[in-house]
Amino acid sequence: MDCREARSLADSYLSEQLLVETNHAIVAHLERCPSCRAEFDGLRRLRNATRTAVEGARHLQMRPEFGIELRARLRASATTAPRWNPLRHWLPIAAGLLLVVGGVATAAWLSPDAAERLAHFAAGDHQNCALTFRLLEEPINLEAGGERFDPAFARLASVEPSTATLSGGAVRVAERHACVFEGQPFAHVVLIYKGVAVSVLVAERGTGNPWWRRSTLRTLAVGGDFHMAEFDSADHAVFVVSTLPLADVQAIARTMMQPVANAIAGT
Amino acid sequence: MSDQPAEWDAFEAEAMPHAERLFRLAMWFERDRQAAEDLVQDTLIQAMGSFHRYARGTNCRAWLVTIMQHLRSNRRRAKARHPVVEDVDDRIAETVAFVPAVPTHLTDEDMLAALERVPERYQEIILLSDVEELSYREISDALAIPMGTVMSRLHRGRAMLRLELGQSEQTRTGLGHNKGAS
Repeated sequence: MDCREARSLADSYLSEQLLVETNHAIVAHLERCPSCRAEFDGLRRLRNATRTAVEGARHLQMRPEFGIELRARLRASATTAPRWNPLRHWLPIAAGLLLVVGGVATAAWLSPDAAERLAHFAAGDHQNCALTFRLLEEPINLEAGGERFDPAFARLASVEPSTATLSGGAVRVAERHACVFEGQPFAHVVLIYKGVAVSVLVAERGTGNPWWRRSTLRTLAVGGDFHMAEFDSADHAVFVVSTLPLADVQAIARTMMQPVANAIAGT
Repeated sequence: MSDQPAEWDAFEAEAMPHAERLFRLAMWFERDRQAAEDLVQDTLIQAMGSFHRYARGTNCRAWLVTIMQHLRSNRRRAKARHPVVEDVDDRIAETVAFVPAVPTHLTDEDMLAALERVPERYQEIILLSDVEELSYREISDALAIPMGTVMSRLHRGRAMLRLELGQSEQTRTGLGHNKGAS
């Protein structure tokens, strides 16, 4: 190994990214070449000095109070937010048993803040899945989503909008899948209406929190260019979101209410 | 015991020890404490929701950094309203003609000031490699760039850092040339 080759490998050598044989060749070269040894020592000093300076910088350090708040928020989120759980299909059975034995239902409660966050996740999923794909992982089909996230997802695999109340022409299903945005799983049906994508996003809400139970449609302000309508169906929240005018989003939501309710109920 | 507290316990044991390092990285890039705190919180919320997909025994810090970089990247794109343009500097990664020797005396202040003067795409690589000690593969995954780009950016970033340090030393000593160039 000559000096040029050794120096071209210096970064990888210092980052310990080389094969053992190459490392040995560099070590052998450094033993007989004082100039390269000085160069490598300089690079090692630079690397150590970078680490020491950044790790010691007081302005980059976390406030202890933030650490405590963060841990508390995450712990609270872990015990309230409905998230994927490999044992989820056992929960209805467990909840039923508790009802019989104790007459008390255990419930996953959502605060108004959590409900608002869910709506914003739905808008984010529409933006980052339906319009421009920027999710961390590829969507999976609804049947697989039913196994992995929520059995109701699989029952949405054949849901179709009722077109009786739509005046703006045909609406068609472009895509159905299960996807995850910011850790929140959704059953996602993408419709095309008037040439524009409309997302119908279904997420489990949890049970037992009466404030959110609504049989009627409501609209939500989620910012950006989006309009959103939302309704509830058997412990699930259903969000309809698009850049279409609000009246169109509401009309599509109405066409989806009964089919989604039937699908989730398995009727 | 229900499985959610158990899941939290596992997440707390595995991921939470990295919160301070994540914050330091977030603070370096956001330059604003509130923005950094928001970024770290969002990263950990997302990580907790995806914890079942984390492969135990792998580098948890690298996994968390990947999530944080995705969030940063998405937010940057959302703000810019257009895709990040191709990094033309990658094509001229080997064009640093002269690299001064690393000064013998390096203060933390000099290092931080020099690092801040290096373009952000090179800072990222230097921090992930030299401070966070992620492998080239882990950096490649975190930044969604090819391994070759990681290597060329690291090489060029370190060279730029040396140039900045050399210029600082020239300014301090009043010398018009660099000492001990190899």
